[in-house]
Amino acid sequence: MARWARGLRLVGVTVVLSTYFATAPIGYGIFALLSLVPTRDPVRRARLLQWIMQTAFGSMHAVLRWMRILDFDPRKVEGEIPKTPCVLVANHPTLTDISAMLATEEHLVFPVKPGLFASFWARPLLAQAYHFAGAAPNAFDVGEVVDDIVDRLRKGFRVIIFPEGTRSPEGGLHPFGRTAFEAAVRAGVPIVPLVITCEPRWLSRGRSFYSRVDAVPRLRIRALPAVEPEDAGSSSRTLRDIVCDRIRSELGYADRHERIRRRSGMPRNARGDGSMERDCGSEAQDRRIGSGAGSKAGSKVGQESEAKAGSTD
Amino acid sequence: MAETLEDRLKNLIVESLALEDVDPAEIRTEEALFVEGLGLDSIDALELALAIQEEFGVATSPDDERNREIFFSVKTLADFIRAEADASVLE
Repeated sequence: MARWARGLRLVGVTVVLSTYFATAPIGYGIFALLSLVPTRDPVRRARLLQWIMQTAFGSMHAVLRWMRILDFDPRKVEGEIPKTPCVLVANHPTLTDISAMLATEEHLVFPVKPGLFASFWARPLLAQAYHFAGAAPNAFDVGEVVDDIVDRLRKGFRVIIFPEGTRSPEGGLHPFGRTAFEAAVRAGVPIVPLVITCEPRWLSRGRSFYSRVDAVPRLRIRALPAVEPEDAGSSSRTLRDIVCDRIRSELGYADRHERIRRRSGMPRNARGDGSMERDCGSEAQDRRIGSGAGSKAGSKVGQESEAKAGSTD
Repeated sequence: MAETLEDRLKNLIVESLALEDVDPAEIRTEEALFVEGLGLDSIDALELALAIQEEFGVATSPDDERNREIFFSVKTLADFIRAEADASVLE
C-alpha cells in the first residue's frame, strides 16, 4: 500500500471513529428509551433492540467498506446458518468480527465482558436485548453463564460464542473453553462452527486502529455444517474437540502443525497420543476420553449452578 | 488398610468427571486440580461440586469467597469436608 494510501486510510479511520463517538449517544438514547418502555412481551422487545443493533452495525460496515477501511459485506457470508436456535462458535481473529456477525445475522445474543455488563449505563441496555454476562476470571461463575445460554436458546435466540475467550493468536488458536458446548448439549441444539479470516490482520491482539496494513483488510465468514450434540455422544468435551478440529482444519492449522512435527522428527507428545499438538482444551483435558462428563449431571447441575462453580470462555 | 478421605475424593474425581485414563492413585493430594496440575476446567468444577454434595452432604454457598481455596486440591477439599460433614459420612 502506497504511503499516500496509508495516510488516506488513517484519515478515514479517524473520521469513522469521530463519527461513531459523535453519533453513538443518539443511538444509545433511542436504545435506552425503548428499553425503558414497559412491555408485556420482553422477548419481542429484545428482538426489536437486536434489530436496531443489527441495523447500526450493518450501517457501520457499509461505511467501512465504502471508505475501503475494511472489506466485509454482511450479505456474502458463505454457508448456511440455521435460523432456528443454535450456538455459533467462531475463532476470533479481529475485534471487528463480532460487529460483523451482528450485522450479518438477526436475533443473535452474545456474552458481554462482566465488567461492562455490570456498568450502570450498559447493563439495562444489554440485558433488555437479552445479552448476558460472560464468565469472570473466577472459576466458580460458569454455571450462571451456561444457564443464561440455555435460557436464551429456549427463548428462540441464537447465541454466538468465541470459545477462545480472547482474540486468536496469529497462525493458531487458543484452547477452546467448554461453556458453549455444554450449553448446546443441555439445550439439545446444534453447534454451527464459523471460520473467520481477516487478511491482512487488523485489530487483532497487538494491532490497533492505527496500525499499518499493506492492503485493505478482507474479513470473511464461512459457516461449516452444523454438529449435533448426538454426533458427539452428547459429550460437551467431544463436541468441543470435533468443532475445534474442524475450525483448525479449515484454517489450515492442523496440516501446518503436522508438517512441523514431521519435519522436526518430534514425537506427537510425551505420551505419544498426540495431545500436545491439539489446541482443543488443555493438555490435561485431552487425557480424558470419557464421554458424558459434561452432560450426565444435566439439569441437576443446572440447578446447582447457582453455586457458581467455574470460569471458562 | 482403610480407605482415607483423600482416596475417596480421588476416586470421586475420576468417576464423576469420567477421567477414564487417569488412575486415582496418580493424583497427588496437594496438586492443583484446576488449570494446572490435573487440568480440570470450569464445567468440571460444576460437576465436582455436585458430586461432593451428593457423596458427603456438604456444599459451599454460591458467593463463598473461599471456593477457590476449597477446590484448590484434594487436600483442601478433604480439610473442608472434615470440617463441615457429618461424622457418619466420613466413616
